[in-house]
Amino acid sequence: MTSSSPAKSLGARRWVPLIALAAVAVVCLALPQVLSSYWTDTITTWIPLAVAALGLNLLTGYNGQISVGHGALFGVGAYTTALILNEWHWPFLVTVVASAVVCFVAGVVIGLPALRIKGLYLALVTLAVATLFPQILEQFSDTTGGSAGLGITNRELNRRGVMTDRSIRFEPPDLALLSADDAKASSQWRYYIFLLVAAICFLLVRNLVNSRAGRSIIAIRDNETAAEVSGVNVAAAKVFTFGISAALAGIGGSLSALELARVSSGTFTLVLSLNLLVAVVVGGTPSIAGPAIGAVFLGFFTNVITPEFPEDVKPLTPLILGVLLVVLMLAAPGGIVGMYRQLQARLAARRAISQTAISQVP
Amino acid sequence: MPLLEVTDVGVRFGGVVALAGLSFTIDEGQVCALIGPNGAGKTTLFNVVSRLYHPTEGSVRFADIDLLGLPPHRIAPLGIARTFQNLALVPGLSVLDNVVVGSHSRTSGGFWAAALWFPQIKQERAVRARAMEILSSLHLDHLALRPCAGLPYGTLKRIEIARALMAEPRLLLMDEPASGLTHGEVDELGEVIRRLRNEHSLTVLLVEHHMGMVMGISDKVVVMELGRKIAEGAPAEVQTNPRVIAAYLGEPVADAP
Repeated sequence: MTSSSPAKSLGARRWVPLIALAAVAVVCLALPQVLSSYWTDTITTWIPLAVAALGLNLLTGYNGQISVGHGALFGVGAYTTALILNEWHWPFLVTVVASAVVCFVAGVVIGLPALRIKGLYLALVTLAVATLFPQILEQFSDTTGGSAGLGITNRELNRRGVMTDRSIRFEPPDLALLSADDAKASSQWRYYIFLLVAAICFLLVRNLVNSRAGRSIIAIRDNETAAEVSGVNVAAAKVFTFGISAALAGIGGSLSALELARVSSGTFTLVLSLNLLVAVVVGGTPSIAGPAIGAVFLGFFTNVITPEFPEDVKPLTPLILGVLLVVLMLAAPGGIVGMYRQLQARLAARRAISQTAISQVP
Repeated sequence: MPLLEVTDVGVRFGGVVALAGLSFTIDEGQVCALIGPNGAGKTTLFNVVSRLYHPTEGSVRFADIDLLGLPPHRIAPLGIARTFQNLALVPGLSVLDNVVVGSHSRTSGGFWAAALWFPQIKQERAVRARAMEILSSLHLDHLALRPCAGLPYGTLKRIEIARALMAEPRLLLMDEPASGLTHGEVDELGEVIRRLRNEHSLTVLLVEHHMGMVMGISDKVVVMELGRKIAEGAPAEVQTNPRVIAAYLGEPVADAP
């Protein structure tokens, strides 16, 4: 086959990302074994953000449609989960899938008018969605619990034989891997379930962007005419991408509701939408690892660095984050993944130069 | 029956008449050149055939199918591919992936199959192998894994040709393939076009200003001026047509002193 030469040079360095991936997997699996329940719960909250950022990255990074409203879709996923569990007590994972389906439909509904508006205008319209969402929740506070929130509970018999509402929890199975302490085992188990759901999402999106459909998504971003003339149904692809992106945001929201066992309107504000955007941009777009790195960066800043600030500096936290982002964007416009790619390209160039130098030795 | 049949096509943008009553036909296997001064409406006609513009009147039929009833993304599956005057590549994809995009209308598999990956492995391999074949026939295979951005103009033009070939077209529309090429490259391009026509049994519709190449490779030349056809025929006929000479060089002044 004629493709052997470039394919070979690709294959030679294939093991680098594989080893990196294995290392990340080992760290992810080991973390709840070495961390306390508190820290396990804390890093568990980063996973839903990573999944939602992955969805936003698919839409904005790969397809070029800007959404500032993914916090609202995250919220739709969370409320869907809360209402389903309170009403019908479905199994958790089934609820996650149901929330994804609901959000897919919501995404298609937003994606249809998005065909007519582009760039800044689309950003503005989705911004309106993000701003309106908490207001809508408060408007229907009978169902949603408004700003006071809505607990996600199960009716259970307590020890004295009385039916009471008890917050949902993840019942850990009897595994040697998990802690003997029941509360800690529950935290660990929840973390592992979340990790699995996230891993599946990341794998599916990775496959998607490396496929025929993924190429058309990217082609639409860079040159709609080229895509159309090559036979891509641009409108359908855009709407579908919006749907899938929304479904991922919904999965994120659903996971977050499962962890907190509570939803309230104050959680799904514009700030959440912006945080997702920050995770996408800081991580680096378009890339698959970017959203995860961005979510970890954001979580690390909020949960690990910020609590260390002296009391009188704490009110300045948003300012510090803002300055940090500006500096980061100046230093690495392509985000953290972009920085890595640049380094890789530089190394490859250096290798090529040294090889030509060798071949030119008389 | 001609392969492409353009009948009385008119395109108006507000008060500007881009095409007026344009008619011509191309037979299967022909290389047909569309020439004329800038603003004659050549690219407009390409955009009508690709369904990017909707004509105000007239009809366009391809292999007896009415193109004007179809949306733009249904044109490629019929076997019509094109290249662009000002390049329409995807800078975010590698050269190979850009070429593979051209196979969209010849492959299948939606989002769900793509997410699962394994239903598509076989097709994906076949499509990449074919893209590599086409790239190497155009001497581009060494660039396959490079990003498109930053490559020389002439190379990008050839990548567009490769992408168009991936669609396995019956009719290839080429919009100024020789623009920006050096003399040597133009001669080579002329040979490439004839060779591709034979190898892929193509019919080619060509917009080109490079007269040497046009006269060398075309079976038929259609000359346009201000949205109208002013001449049509074999290259030799067209070259001696007084209206064509006038359009290119200006009217002779009748009562010169």
